[in-house]
Amino acid sequence: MSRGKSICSVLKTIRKQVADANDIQYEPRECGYQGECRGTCPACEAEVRYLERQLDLRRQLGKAVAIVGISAGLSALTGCVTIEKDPATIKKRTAPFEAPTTSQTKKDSATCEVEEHVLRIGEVVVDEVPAPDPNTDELFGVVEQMPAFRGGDAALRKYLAENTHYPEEAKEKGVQGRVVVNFVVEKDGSITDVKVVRSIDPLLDKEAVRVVKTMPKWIPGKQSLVPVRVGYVLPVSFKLP
Amino acid sequence: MSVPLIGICRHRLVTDGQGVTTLVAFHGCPLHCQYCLNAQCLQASGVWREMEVEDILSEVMVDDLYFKATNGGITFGGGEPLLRYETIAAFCELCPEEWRIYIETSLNVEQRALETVAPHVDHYYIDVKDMNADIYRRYSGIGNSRVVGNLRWLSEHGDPQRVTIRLPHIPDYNTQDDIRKSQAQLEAMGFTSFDVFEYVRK
Repeated sequence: MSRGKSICSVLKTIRKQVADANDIQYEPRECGYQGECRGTCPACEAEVRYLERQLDLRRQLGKAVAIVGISAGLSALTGCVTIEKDPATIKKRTAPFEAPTTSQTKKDSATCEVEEHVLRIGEVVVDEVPAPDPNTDELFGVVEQMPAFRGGDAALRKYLAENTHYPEEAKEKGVQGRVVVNFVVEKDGSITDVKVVRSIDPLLDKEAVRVVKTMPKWIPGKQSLVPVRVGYVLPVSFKLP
Repeated sequence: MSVPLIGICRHRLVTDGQGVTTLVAFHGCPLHCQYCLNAQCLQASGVWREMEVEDILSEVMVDDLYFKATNGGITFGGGEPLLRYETIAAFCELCPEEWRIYIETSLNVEQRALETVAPHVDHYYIDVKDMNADIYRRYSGIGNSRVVGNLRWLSEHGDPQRVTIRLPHIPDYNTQDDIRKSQAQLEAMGFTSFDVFEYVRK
């Protein structure tokens, strides 16, 4: 099994564990692709987005969701990690932290190709990104042309300043700070999947989500001139006078 | 303020930290090492992208679920990530609190850089090269007094359990005996976790 396929398999297991822990119906799709993959693909990404939507729904219904640490025993999942002992080196690891080492080799005598390049700590390998399919629903992080609020950053700041209402109760409680919100700018510029990634207080979180949800359409992001869905992070500040 | 990066690499399974991590690697380094793993960090043409903190967060956010489920997160590397300590601190104040933050550093930076990021870092991978000042200078081009000072600060202010010291065998520069001496010196400072490995000749 190649490194990409091995990563894909582990990520699939994580998705299944998260789904099972939250009673989400999910069966990872069988992947028939035989070529080299990067460990994820638009189909895998779509499964992650599906799970995130299901988890959001459960949160909105007031249900507790379990995500943190669900797949913490990842080293047991990989199955592809063996440690090669080099008699010429000293190895002492007394700390409980399961830190990886560069003498760890990702291989499995049964399934992994021995000649596979082994990533070292901190080693950078950047894959070339091909032009996206115009019909893709893949979610991008940073693209060549990032989505933008019409009028630019100054207009965005002005919009937020004019349309964010400080909840009275939060004022009385003296709560202030910066709520970090993540959302998707769709191919048509509309805003979807608004969620808080860094919370300050439920009152401020709710207002930050409201103001972001009601923003006018953005100029969509583009990769190789093709409009694509792009995730965007926006801090919304609440400061008491 | 945007910062130059040499790459953002996703889905590194127990390579740079626990669980699923994404490596965010910065351009620029104070050292000039013969066997540098990411030599593009010193070349003007090696810049992959210039990004703002919010852009970096947007880029890595797609793996939020995996980070949280596996107790994984972000590993900052490079180049020397601590040259961008303000960016790292700003990132950590924006990102979800459940993400773990790992840093792969030489510690050859001003102490202020270490002090700034320390409240946010869950685990350090510190490549000390060799504790012998002459060997260090011969290999990297500069002295290691800042490294030693920062290691002392970390042993006094941090938890040694959160540090993995990387001790490379540097072909033509140090020996197994030098490595043993480095380790003994570091153990005397309170560090307990060591990763002895081979640099690969290029």
